[in-house]
Amino acid sequence: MKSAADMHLTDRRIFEFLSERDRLPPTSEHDHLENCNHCRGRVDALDDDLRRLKQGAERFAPAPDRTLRLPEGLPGKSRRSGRFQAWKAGLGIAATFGILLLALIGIRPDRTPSMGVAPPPQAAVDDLEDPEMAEVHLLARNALPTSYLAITESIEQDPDEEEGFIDFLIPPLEDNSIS
Amino acid sequence: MPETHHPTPASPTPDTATENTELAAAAKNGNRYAFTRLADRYHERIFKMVFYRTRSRPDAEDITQDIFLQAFRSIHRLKEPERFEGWLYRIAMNRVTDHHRKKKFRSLFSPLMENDREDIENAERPHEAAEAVDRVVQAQFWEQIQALLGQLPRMEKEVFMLRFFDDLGIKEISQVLGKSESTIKTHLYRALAKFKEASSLREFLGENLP
Repeated sequence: MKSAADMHLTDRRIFEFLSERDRLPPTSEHDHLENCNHCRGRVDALDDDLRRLKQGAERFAPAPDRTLRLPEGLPGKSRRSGRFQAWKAGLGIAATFGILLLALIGIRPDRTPSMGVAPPPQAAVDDLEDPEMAEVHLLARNALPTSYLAITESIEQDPDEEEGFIDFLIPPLEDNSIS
Repeated sequence: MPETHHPTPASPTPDTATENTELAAAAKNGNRYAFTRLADRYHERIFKMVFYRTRSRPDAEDITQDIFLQAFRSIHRLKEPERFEGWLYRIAMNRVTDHHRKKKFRSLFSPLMENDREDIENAERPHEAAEAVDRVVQAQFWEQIQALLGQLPRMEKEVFMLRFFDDLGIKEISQVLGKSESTIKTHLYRALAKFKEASSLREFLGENLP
């Protein structure tokens, strides 16, 4: 035989009732609440405190001061027609620029040693006999523009000569202008 | 024993819900007036929802503006107008989360930046409380709330706030957070169990709020 405690609502049932009373279909729990002062008291106590919690939050939170500012045009459509088209145009311009850049730094003719490129070391010379390595060396030799190669060579010979370029690449820590 | 009457929680009246759905459908089709009316209806609710989570009036103003701006720009993507409320609150939740992430990121670079200092001062300053007693009660209220919410895991805290501060139903909360209703209920009941045991807060509420 069930004791009186067993017949009362569990905490979970009370929480369910408080959270979803509008959605719950009539059940035996509803009948129990109507007839059981103990459970009814527990529900009401918790319900009252939750109501006070909401009331306090509303009372002690300010109302908005500023009015909302909405952009010109129609909702949704303004973004789709204006900014979407601008985005497509931007993508097209970026793609065109990318293609031009690739064309400019594309495969160049072989450089002769008189243009400032040091002859490859012996091991690399041996590798040139291998056609695959020859292609690798060709790509590496032409990876940088001549002016870059000239800078690296001059740095190796006299580090102080290109101090300005080095400072540009790696700014000193005291420079506060860099964000 | 007289029956205690409590106002119906969560959902708006059926008439209001129907009107909101019609306005959302019109706004989705580019009706600016319909969107403006929706914004008027939800402005204060969204503002308070943000304020509960930031405790800063200036931040709440800025974030609320961002929320409605985003809603204005992307309402054409709302698939079901009857889900407008859940959709709007989801935008709001994401914006608040972004705000907290950026604030945390900034705090890594400076222990207390100027903006944050102002935010703390604004949050601690009681809002529109005319009487000195009210200002004290207001400060104590938020302290007690923070003490409760601070001990809840993130999901329990959010579900609890959406249900009992923001008045959303279980279905709307599941839309906002992208979780099943059973998951929402699990978190909600855990949070309620902790609220039930928060005797200090409950005593405070009983003594200071009618």
